[in-house]
Amino acid sequence: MKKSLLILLVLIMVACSTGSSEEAAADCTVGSVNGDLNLYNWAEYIDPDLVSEFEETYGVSVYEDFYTSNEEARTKLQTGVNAYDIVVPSDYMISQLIEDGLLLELNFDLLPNFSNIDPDYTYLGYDPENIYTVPYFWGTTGFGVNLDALGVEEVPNTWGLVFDKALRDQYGLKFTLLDDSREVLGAALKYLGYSLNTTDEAQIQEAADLVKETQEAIVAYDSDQFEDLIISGEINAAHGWSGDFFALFYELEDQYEDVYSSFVYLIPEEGGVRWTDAMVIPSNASSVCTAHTFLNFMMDAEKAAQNAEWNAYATANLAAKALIDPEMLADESIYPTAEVVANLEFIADLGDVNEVYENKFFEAKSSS
Amino acid sequence: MNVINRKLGLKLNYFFVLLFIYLPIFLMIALSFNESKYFNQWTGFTFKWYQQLFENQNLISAFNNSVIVALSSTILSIILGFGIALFMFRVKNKFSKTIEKFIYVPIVIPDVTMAAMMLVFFVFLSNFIDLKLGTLTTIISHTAFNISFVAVLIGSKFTRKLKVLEEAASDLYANNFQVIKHITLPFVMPAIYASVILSFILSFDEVVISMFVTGPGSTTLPVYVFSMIKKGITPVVNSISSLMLIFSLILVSGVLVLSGKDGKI
Amino acid sequence: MKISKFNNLLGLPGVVFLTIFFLTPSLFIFSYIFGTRTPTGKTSFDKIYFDSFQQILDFNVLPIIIKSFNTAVIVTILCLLFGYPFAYQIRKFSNKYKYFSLFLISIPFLTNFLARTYAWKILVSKNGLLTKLLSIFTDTESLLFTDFAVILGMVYVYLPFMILPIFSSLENIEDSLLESARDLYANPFKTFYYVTFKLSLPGVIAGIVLTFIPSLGAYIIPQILGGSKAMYLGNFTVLQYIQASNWPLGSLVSLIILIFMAIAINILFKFEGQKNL
Repeated sequence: MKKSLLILLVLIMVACSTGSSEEAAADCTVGSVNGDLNLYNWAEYIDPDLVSEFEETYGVSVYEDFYTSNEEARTKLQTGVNAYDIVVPSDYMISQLIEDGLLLELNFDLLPNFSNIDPDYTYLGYDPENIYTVPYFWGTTGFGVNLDALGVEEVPNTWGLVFDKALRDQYGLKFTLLDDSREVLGAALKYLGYSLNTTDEAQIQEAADLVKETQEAIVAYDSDQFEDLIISGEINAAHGWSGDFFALFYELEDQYEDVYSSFVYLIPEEGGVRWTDAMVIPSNASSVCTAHTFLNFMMDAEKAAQNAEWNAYATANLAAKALIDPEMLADESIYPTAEVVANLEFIADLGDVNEVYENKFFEAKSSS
Repeated sequence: MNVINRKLGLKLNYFFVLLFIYLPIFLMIALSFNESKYFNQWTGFTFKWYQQLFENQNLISAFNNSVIVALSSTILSIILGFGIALFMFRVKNKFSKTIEKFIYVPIVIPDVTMAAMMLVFFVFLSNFIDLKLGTLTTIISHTAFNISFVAVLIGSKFTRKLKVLEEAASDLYANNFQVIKHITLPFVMPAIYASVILSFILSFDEVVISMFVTGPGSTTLPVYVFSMIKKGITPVVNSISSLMLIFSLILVSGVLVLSGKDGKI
Repeated sequence: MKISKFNNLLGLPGVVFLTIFFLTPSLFIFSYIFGTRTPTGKTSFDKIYFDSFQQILDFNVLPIIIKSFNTAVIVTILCLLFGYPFAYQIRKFSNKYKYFSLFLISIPFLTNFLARTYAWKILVSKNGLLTKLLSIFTDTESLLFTDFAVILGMVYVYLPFMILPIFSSLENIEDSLLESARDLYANPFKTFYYVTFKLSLPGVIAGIVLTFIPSLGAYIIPQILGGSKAMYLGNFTVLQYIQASNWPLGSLVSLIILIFMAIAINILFKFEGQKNL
């Protein structure tokens, strides 16, 4: 008797707990929480003080997991066995996630701070009706160089530093490239004068071959420790994302008289990648109210400004921009001019061709 | 002359190997007390990196998860593994002979393969039940390989001597439970102690499998440290590694003391 | 018979657990081999595909398999080269030193291997001791991210796995056997070869298997020391699962690793059988 009652109880509990996330979203109110937050994010992309502040203000715990590439995030989300509440993917990956039905439609009634967001960063191609995303930061991918280690005052602003053997040898460059197929092949394609979203397999192959030839000079493919490798001297240059370099420079500021004359972040003249990251809620998230509250919290002007000053990326929050240190706003490497931006491309979702990039990159990477 | 050379060669090799193994360890422990962030300069003695460790919430929670997972999978493995060991020892038919062979598979399988297997399995299961990766999936995965270690370890203690004792006891009208309780268990106790500690250590140290099957909030310590190590070489990583080494050292001493004087692990 | 039923029951929970949570997962891996990767990284099973086999050829996975195999062989040989004399030396010690040495060699065996790999990383990076030492002889600036570092790192981690089984089987050789060999006028070399070495063979085989298999499937060590430029079977597999979302290919490579492993275990058992003769 007792046993069957127990079983019944368990069944009822299970039935209740598998209510859909959409319904849950409708039950939330502004600033409400329904459980701890599982945050899946790039490493060092959010100010830890803000995370603690959120935990204290709302009385929940925030668990952070990190990924170092969009593909990794996508794989985890696709398996459907991970209960993340917030993820921060990049533009082209968001399109894919939407296509696979992995994202939750946001309840904008719970996000009054959304009005702070720069309209230029809403309704973008990856989420045309802007129902799944809240823009986070945008930035560029370029090449950071330790001029001090090379013993020069400046270097030419070109991807040739990576792909041209003569230039490499001239400056004695030792560098890492991002462990990312679209980024690396993108840089090669730009150097060769093509679009980094080309679907022409011959062009992609040409780019891959170029990377193959460069193999001997590449110290490693790395997306998460290149700043530390520059500091330790293992490399004197690195392919990386804008904000990561600035965090590096700020750290070295007390060691160098003028960090900016010793280190430089280049956005090569041939062009490169610009990207936007946005916060999304996976469709199988459990703490949907908490997730919305977190999104709203991060969009608050002061918080967003604090975050922007911490991770040195370009904020998509217009209200926050007014509160950011003007010196940072004037820094063209963090906030590039419209002119420079015009020369850059977003990585686009290329459907079937995505795989071609992955495969060619892998081939190039493993050739020796 | 030849003999002396050989003897010298052996001794040299002995010291060289010990040096090879321990030098990096001592270096790392020493560096964890280094004031400077960079390991090519020594600027003073400090505990600050250890302090930072204890203030790191994520780290502490990862540690707790590791302990919970290790304890649970150890208990489960001991119970299940002991059963299998007894089964292999007492039953000698075709089935048990097959088990004897296949029991080695979880021991020898590379963790990458096992990690992939478990992930695929859990993803498949999630189609039927509301399953999320977390502490439970980690415990199950760790138990899956620990059972074999336990079974083999305890199994190695089963000798003819024990068989004789068991038969004698049952001749004297002891039933199965009594035999196990009074004869078998005490006889293999050293192996059980060793298995407990071995299981715990194996689970606690497991990286790749945990990487694939833990979920948010249930990250284990090695997974967390692995991402720190990939990130770079900082003294904080030195501190955590040193602590992990010392922690294992204490446990290892336990293994050796308890696995008996014959030195067979 | 009551006793045998009980004994069967003893083993049942364990066997059931392993069947569900070990055997079944391994079967799933096999089934994924016949799926295919959709453009967004899911795996589709609408019909039986052989894409993964094709991809093994297309992606030039063969060099990776060869590289991993060669590396594993080199690591195993190095471990054997330094490990066997070490075990032999311990055996010659008196009890006190014997157990002390055993203690010393067991500590790394069971201590956290992440920590040890990391300690090794410090040694081989630009300002590390080993790099500095080697730069006296050669012109290397940094050993980090080289194949050399990966091989040494693996030897560093797996050496105790070779030493302990060999020591174990050497210990089983009674001194009286050696004495009788000498009494029969065998010179030291003959004694060693025909008595010691042959009798220690089970331990050597065990050591080889315990070193070779993990080296073949190593992921952490190449990842930390090789910097993802180094493609070994281990990190190739992880790459397929986590990054490329290509589970069919990843599963096929897992199967290949499993096959190598099965062959190794069979060899192990063949030798075990011979020992009893």
